[in-house]
Amino acid sequence: MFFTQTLRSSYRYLQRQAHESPVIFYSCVIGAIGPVMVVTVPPIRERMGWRPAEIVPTSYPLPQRARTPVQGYEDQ
Amino acid sequence: MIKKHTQIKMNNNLTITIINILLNLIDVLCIVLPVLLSVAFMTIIERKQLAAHQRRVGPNIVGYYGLLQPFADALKLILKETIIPSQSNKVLFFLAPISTLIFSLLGWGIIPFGQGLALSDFSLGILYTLALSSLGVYGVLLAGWSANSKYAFLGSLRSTAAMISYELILSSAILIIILLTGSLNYNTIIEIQQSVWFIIPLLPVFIFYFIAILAETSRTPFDLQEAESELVAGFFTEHSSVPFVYFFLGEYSSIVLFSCITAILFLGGYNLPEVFVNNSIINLQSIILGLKTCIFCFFFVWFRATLPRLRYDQLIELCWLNLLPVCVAFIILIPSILVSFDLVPF
Amino acid sequence: MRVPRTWLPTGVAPRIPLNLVASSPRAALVARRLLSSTAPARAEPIHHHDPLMSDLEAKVHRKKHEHPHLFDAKGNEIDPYKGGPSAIDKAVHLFFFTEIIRGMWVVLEQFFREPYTIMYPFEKGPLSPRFRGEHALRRYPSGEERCIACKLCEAICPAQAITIESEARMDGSRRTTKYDIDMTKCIYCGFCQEACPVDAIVETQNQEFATETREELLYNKEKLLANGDRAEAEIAANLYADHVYR
Repeated sequence: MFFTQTLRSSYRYLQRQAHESPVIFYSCVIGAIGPVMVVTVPPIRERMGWRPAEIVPTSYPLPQRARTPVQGYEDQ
Repeated sequence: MIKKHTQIKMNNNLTITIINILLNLIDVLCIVLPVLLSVAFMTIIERKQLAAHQRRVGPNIVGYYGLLQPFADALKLILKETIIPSQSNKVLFFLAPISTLIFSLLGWGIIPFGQGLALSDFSLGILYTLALSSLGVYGVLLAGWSANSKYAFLGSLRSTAAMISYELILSSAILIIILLTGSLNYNTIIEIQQSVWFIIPLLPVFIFYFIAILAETSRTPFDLQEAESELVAGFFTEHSSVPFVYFFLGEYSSIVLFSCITAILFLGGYNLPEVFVNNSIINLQSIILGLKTCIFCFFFVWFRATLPRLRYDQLIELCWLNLLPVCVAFIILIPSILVSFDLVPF
Repeated sequence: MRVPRTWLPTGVAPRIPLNLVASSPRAALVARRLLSSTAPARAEPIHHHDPLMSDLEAKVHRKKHEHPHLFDAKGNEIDPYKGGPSAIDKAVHLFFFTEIIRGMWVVLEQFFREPYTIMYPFEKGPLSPRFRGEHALRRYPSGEERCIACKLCEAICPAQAITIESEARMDGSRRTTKYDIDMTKCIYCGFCQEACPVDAIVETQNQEFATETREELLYNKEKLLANGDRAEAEIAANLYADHVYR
């Protein structure tokens, strides 16, 4: 009973906002779509066959061997 | 011997510097003169178009179809007496129109009129434009303050609040474009629009961008600072003759400038995808940019013919309570789309 | 002379029957053209509140007087927006600027139409026979001046632009020796013309008597009589055209 009451009153509230201050209401709606998309769209795309591209390497991993300092290329 | 050699070298350097400066000056003149000419014709376009919207003919005596009217007007204004109010702050009184004109003309320095046809291909072009449009407020402020007239003062007060408010909307709209292109450079933005003009995917953004530039250039319906019916002429009430010409030129130059920037940001600038290849002697790219600019100039006057002036509280309310929420919503939505479809350009 | 505006008064007439049935293509065109006079589709009804109240104040005001939740007999809440436009409708009208676009369309339509302008110095609009322009003193057909120096015009002139001095002539009739009108003072009210018992001073239909110096606008008797001699036919015709209403 309490739950339905809350649901109904919040529906009424949203309805009133949509009618009385549509700019704020629809701005909230449009703004909320964004984060929702960030969460929901990539899983759906992955299910449809999309694989995220490999991240481009930004550094060179050090090889597992002894370091040999470079010599013979100094100026002069 | 060595001494003479260095002297020749120094002389050489000096000549090269002077020649460079002269070439730069010629470059600048190549932009400024056509711009001033286009500004002059913008005034006649405005008068003729407004007349056509109101089913009048407008000025039609001076030159064919009144085409020379702006020059006649300029001559008239220059020949008039410059009246300086005795209680005014003389330095600021003259600084105001000069700064207005200079700040609106400086904006043309980074506009690309074609591939590689810009005075400066500045990597932070958009920031430069925004900075200049903010500086444009100073001319209005100084004019209102220095003239020591209540009408000018009220006009500049109105204008300052309005311009600062709408700057926010303008920069938010531009921010979205920067997010899409990943660059602040005009050339990059134009090249990215090769596939689709931004006006198509970003139509809602374009709408509030255009509202913001209407307010930024203080055109109807946001021309509160020069509301003739209430404030005589607004912030330049006390300015006459040449200072008035400067304000006039500055105002119309910023209209043409913003039309041009709108064409670059939303209509792909000098590019017309796959229709024209720029191999001819005539620079078609510049003509295309000019035509696109004309579209927005037409819009400016069309809005002026249609809409009545807003009240001041409506102006501020429209900005902060209506445009800003929508703007913020789009600033959240569009990056989210980019992230979720993996389209982030950088 | 072309009279380009004669149709104008009738031009308003087709606007009155708004629910005009498009019986002919022309009528349909007319109805289509009159977009501006059709009732606007509004997202919200107009609230008739104080015109000096700002929208912000109005909002606060409205919130204060907002009705509490309405309930029907069974205790269920009544939807206050039932029957009105839906929230989506309102939002569409708001966000897509429907009314502004209608207005802009009307303005754009005007842009492509012929202008109403009368090319003034070459083309002139019609003047009423009652038009009050430059003054003139009339004569009788015999050549005798009409003015009897009764000074009624001088007395009634609200701007005190008329100065008259009079004297008895040799034959005993009273005539003016001086009849000056300061045209820079005159407000063209036409009282002098109405006060005149002999229709001597009249205002002609000439309105193009601008001069380069102020002195030329201080009219004396000779100038006024010359005006009258020049425009006598016109003045007589105008007086005749208007005599039934006097």
